[in-house]
Amino acid sequence: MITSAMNSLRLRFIDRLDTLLPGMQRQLGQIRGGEALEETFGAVLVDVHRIAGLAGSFGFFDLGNRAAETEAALRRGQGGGFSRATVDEAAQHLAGLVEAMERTLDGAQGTEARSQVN
Amino acid sequence: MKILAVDDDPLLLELLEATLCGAGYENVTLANSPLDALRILEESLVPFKCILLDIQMPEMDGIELCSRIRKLEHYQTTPILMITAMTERSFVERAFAAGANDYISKPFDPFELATRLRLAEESIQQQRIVAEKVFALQHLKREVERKSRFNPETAIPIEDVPGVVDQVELENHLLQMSRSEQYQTVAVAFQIEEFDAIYARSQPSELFLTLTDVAECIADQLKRTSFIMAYAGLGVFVCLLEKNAPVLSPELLQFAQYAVDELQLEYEDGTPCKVTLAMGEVQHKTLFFSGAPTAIVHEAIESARSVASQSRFPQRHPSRIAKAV
Repeated sequence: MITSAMNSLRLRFIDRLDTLLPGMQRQLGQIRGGEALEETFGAVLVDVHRIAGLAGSFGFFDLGNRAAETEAALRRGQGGGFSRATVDEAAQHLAGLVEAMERTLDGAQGTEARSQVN
Repeated sequence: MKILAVDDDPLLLELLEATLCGAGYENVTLANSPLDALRILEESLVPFKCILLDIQMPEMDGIELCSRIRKLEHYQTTPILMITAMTERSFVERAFAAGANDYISKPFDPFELATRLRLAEESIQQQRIVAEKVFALQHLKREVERKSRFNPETAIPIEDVPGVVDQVELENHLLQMSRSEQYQTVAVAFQIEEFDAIYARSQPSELFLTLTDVAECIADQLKRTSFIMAYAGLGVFVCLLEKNAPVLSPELLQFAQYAVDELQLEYEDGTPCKVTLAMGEVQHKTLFFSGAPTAIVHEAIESARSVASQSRFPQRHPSRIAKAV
């Protein structure tokens, strides 16, 4: 049973996804373009780490798993000195995560999903 | 149970608070940065009973924070649980090395969280039981030590060292020898230098162990010949052995001292207990001797004491070993 406190937190998490999405799409473009990789990886990692830690607790298991995989790929990219292969891998994971975020938001914004949340 | 939860993500902190509350833990304080956590811990009048730390935080990570918490006076044994995602398991080992006790996986499973906290509570309870038992044992030990304190002059029996008997038995052994056997027997004694200082600093039980160790070192040097030895009190060991025993060489003291040094004896507080042996002159009965057969035992003891006291004033008496050896 979802308590009202958990329900409120879940809604805030969805709001956070909505807020983060445009920035993450931009960061994905930067990574694909090889722009300011060190800074971009660092910034995106903070958000991805938070999604990985929270999503599963609100029932978004696929999103949580993708975020965890993306976090691991981003760390490999950092650890590997931003080699082409590790950057491409991180970009691929991040693209999958962005899609998962969009799907989650689409689902949550639907009337049916809203009623389940409430 | 008073809990402190530390994470830089306010949403995760609130989720953690709600989950903890659902598991029956309502006394939860939230800190959104390591510095905030350290401030809360230092200002809290009642110590927290359990601390939950996120690993990934900017400025100072949870591992560094854990290490700093462990240095705080009231938090050396408080259960610290790291909050970690599957991707961070490699950090867990470092967290344990920094003093963490357990970890909680993200995303939170209320059942797992409650189980981990219950384990932490049990750990606190066990610590309390252990602390009470340690206190009781220390008290008991002090009482036993107080009651078992012996005078430095007491010739306490040394047990379980082959060849070592008590002094009365050693003298009886001498008295029961034939006259010719008495002529073929010599007495030599070893004195622990500055025994009074060692006696003053040791608990009775550790002094007993030190004397046993020293007896074993001396006996080990004499075992190639027939001998008996006794502890005569005041740090003196007296030995009876055959007059022409090869072990009665000038190196006897040196070898015994090597054996003692190898033990690296320590006081209860871990500081080294330096035991230095002095060896007296070898005493034996002469054809013209008319006194008690046991006189050689007392003369050997006196000689060892004399050599040891001379070594305390090396300017006046440079030698620690009697010349007669």
